Amino acid sequence: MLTGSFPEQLREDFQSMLDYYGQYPIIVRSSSLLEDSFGSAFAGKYDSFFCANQGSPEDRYNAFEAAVRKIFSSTMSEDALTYRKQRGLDQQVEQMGLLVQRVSGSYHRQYYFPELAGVGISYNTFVWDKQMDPKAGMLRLVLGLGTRAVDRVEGDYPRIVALDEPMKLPLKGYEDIRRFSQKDIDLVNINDNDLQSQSLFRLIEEGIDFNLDRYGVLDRETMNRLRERGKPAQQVWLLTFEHLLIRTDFPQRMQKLLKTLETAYQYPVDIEFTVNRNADQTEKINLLQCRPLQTKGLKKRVSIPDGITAEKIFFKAEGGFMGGNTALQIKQVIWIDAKRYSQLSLSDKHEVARLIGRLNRCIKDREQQPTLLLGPGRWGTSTPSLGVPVKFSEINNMTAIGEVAFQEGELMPELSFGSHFFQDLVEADIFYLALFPDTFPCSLNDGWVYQSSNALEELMPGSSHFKPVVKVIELQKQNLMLLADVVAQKLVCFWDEE
Amino acid sequence: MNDRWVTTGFKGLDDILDGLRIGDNVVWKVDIIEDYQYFVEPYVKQALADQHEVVYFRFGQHPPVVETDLGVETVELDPREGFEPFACAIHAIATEKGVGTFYVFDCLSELLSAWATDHMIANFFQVTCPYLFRLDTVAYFALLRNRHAHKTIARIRETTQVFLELHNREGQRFVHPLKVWERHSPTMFLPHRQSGESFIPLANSLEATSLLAGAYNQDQAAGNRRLDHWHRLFLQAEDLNAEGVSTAEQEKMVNHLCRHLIGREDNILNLARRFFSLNDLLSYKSRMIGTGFIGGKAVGMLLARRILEAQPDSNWCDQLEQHDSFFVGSNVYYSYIVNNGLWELYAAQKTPEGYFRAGAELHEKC
Repeated sequence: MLTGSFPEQLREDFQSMLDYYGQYPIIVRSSSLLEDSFGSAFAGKYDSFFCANQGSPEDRYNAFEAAVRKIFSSTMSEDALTYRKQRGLDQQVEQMGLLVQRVSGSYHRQYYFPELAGVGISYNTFVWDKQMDPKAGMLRLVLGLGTRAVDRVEGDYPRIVALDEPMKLPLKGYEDIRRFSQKDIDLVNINDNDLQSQSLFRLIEEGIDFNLDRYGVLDRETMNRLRERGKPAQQVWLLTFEHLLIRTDFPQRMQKLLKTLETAYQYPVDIEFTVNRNADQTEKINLLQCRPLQTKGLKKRVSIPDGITAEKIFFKAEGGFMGGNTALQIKQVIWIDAKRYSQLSLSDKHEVARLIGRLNRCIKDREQQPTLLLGPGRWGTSTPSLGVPVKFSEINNMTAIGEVAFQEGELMPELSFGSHFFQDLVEADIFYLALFPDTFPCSLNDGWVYQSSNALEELMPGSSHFKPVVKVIELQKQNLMLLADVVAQKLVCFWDEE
Repeated sequence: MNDRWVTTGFKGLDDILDGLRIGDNVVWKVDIIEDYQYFVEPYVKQALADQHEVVYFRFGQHPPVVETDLGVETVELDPREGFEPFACAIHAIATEKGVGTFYVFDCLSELLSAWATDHMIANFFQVTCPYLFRLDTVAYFALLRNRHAHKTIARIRETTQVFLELHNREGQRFVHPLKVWERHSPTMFLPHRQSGESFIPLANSLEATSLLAGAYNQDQAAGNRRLDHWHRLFLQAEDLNAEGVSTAEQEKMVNHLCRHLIGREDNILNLARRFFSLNDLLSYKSRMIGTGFIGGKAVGMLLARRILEAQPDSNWCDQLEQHDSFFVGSNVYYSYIVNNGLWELYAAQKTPEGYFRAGAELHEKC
């Protein structure tokens, strides 16, 4: 579907639309019949494309047509077909419409981007603090284009805002804040006719005309360090969004916006938005998308028994999980050894991801064979040094997945709400957990994993090369339970003798 | 005699057309359904007498054109489920029945109220007719005069093997063949007046003029035939909006347009009916390319804005940036598939065996 032609009338209509937008960058987005309805968001299953809209009218036209073809073609991608089949939509009619939007933003020299962009969710299904109200909702907020807030990006973090406690972060210490902040800005580069990520540091170096004190604070520590090293003096900004979150009513407005939509939908929603500034400095919110969020209900009460003895516990944590109240009996554990994984070559790391995909396909029935997948860093990243680069379709039969922090290798979990991966987990009803074994009260006893026999070779003959990295443990008689209590924010996985 | 020769069951008609050929799709453009039925009956009876299997696709609101007790297999279809299930179901039945089956379709104009667009009827014909041709079938179709855009008629005529105009002047039938593939005679393309069992060419230009000019004027008078039904529907909606007619009537139109523009899911449809005015829908249409649904993402974006703007005690209008979007209707997707010759692969993808295999092929190639 990538080389087809369009009839004359349609080409004329496309052309007049492009004439209307002129040279402003536009985005061509999938808008299918089933997409974003109640129950299926199709997050990231169909493509969207930016057209920077530079060059001759013919070039611009051709770029647009190419984007349309690619979106049409994405309806038949394996990922999309698997998704539809899994959700029982494979026999339903799916038709692809398109939503074409002028990219919301303004020019800063050759760069074009909105001041702020992000994702908002009216129900904070991951509350990482007992004082927080999940009903207040949350944002993933970035400077520049929202692609950064929607997708998982390596080494870079959007600002996570719990709308009732906007200044609270799931981070500890200044160093963490620096490390887990946004460093790159997504923007349209007019000169290169392209969507790009540029480091904020470099943009400042180039002297970009943008007032950063609204969204960041000067990182004096880093500036001093640079000066000590004899580097030329330059401002270094840390994007904390403090001013916006403390001194303006932005969090309240966004909360009200989300609540209003949730009330009308009678269901939690998630949105994509941008924020720009008028000539008189007032903020204007541009709502790009709104859809019902799928969550597992909180009806089932789960109580975690008191006094589970330490030797019975596989792991426990407070906060850092998602998927509602849960009581699951685990029948299979797939464990990726962090240290050995981090020592693999780049191509072997990709091989591990494919191997997990094949193991995933062996799970014929999630109900019969609930599987817990545990591995270092972030699942689904595109950077293998940060975690196993699986596609969602390679883990979609798991019952629970866990991201385990591995400090030495810099493999850190990242809880990216509203990202495609997050949406996928929510919709596939996969429980998510993050473990920071070095941080109290989290604990992990993985000794038993190394004493258990590895079923990898039986399942995947010819994979013995990866036997030290990938452990598959079948649990027949032992009763491994995964319990999560959302209200108390407690999570435990333990050997239950009853 | 040609070994692919088949009778229409009507001697007089066979005489004009030199009969039918295996593989013929026969399209009748008629004033009234009864005239179609008049020619369907002998065709079906003769086909059954000649031991052909006959399948009748029943999907219209008009009375059945084939009597059920003749021994014909009737397949009932609901076109309101949309173009794809309809076209795929027919494709699947044709595949199952295989070579040599005879078919009768209800009047295709009935699909207008279900699909709201002419264009998709032409698409349907474009995917169905060549497939039936390849399966060595004979099929009868009908269209009502004055219902369709010129372009639709032109595409159907181009695709089919036999295209016949059937005029009815106060009970007197005239048959005027416009296209008879690979058959010729000096008088074949003249209008013919029915006289009992036979058809007599109108050798007299005076008679031809009075018949054809009348039909032509009627055609022009019936509104702008250059437009697809879709656009005429929205012109009608604009009139309702401008005239300030009763809210009940406007609401009815909102419901109707939502069904064609917004989608099928009840929760979202209910929200759309509650928050979108006729004026809103007309403004979305003005930003639309092609026909069909604008899709979930577009609906969500528009709906969210309307919900916020409808809040009585707030100033969301001032706080929100105006939307500046265009929408490409979901029928463009089908047209793309049909126009690029991918429909059979698409239909194969809808079967359990073809789901991934044909899908991968579609994804890759064109």
